Amino acid sequence: MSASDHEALRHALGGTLPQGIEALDAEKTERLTLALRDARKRQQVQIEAALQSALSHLPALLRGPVRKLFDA
Amino acid sequence: MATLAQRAEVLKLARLLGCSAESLDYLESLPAPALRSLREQATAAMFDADRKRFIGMANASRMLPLPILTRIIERAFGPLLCARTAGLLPVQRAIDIADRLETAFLTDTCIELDPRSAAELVASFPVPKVVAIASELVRRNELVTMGRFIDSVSLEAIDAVMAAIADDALLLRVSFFAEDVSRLNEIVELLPPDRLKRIIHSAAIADADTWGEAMSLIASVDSALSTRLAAITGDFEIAVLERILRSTEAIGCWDVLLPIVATMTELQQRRIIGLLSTQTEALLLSMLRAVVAAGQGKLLLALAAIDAAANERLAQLASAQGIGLDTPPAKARKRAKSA
Repeated sequence: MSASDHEALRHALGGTLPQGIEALDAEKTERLTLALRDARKRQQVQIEAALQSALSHLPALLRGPVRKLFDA
Repeated sequence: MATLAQRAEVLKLARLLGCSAESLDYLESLPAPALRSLREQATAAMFDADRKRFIGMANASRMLPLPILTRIIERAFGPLLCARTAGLLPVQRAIDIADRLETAFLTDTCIELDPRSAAELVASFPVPKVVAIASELVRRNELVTMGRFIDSVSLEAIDAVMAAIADDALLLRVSFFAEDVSRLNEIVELLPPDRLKRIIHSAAIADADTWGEAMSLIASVDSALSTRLAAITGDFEIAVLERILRSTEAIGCWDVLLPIVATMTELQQRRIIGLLSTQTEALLLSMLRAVVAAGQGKLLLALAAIDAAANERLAQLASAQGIGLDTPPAKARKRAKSA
């Protein structure tokens, strides 16, 4: 696994690399990095959609302050 | 071939990432501790990144009276937001809210919940609610989710859940996904002997994967309990023991079975080893290669000595194939790979 593969995986995992992960070759490391990124993206989309849905149920006057709380 | 622990880890990681276990097959080359460490870091990356955002929501929710808050949670927030904030609320407040929510909604929430952040809440959850949610999780076949909560749910609740779930093989499948082995000891100790026997028997006559999960349990618990479970297995009728041999071969887990057999009584060992003399050459060869690769050649030699016919057949086969049962494991693994 090259330094850039390392870096991309480290970033997708939020900081550090688990011990033993260096045994993966470059291709597998890239696939794992993509799987982690995809999962995180999907999760962010779901959270954003859930939040929008939640806001849409609130009275218009309350949406701004609640949104601020969530984005704090 | 992946070990049982590797398979469990890949399944749990796939559940976390929302993809199929097959799409992560390439990770099965990593040792189980590395896979576990990877999954723990992936969990942190998935759940901790947004924590700050949900703290604000949890704080705001404290200002609302329970009846209004419950209505907003069900109608507007939904299970995902609810799961992310549940562990950030004071435990009693979260329990009071849960008490007013429908089981289906709580089950959806449970699937999205991060057990690390909600451990205190899960441990204090009322037993009838836990049983209701567990029954719904069973209905939805959410076994990985159930396994994630084994460590944090109270033993009293686990006992009640086990009494409520009639499907023995299913309980075993859930235990396969448990995180903490010491917890499994406590849970198995809760089971009456008859139920324990039924659980292992149902796994032995089920498909090979279910038998693999039973072996994983027997091999994971502490040695006294493991010996007890091995003794239960060794008493099964011959047809079931035959099936166990074939299932073990199908999942390539001879290295797990052999130490289990080693803890059985001599009479039980005699029944199992005796069966080897009538197995196909392909099965025996596969077993020989697997145990030698796992460094268990000498253990097999010791066990085989108990039955003259099996001993002779194995010795002939090993000699014809150039398999040295006392070959060091590293050398044997190399040979097994090239075979």
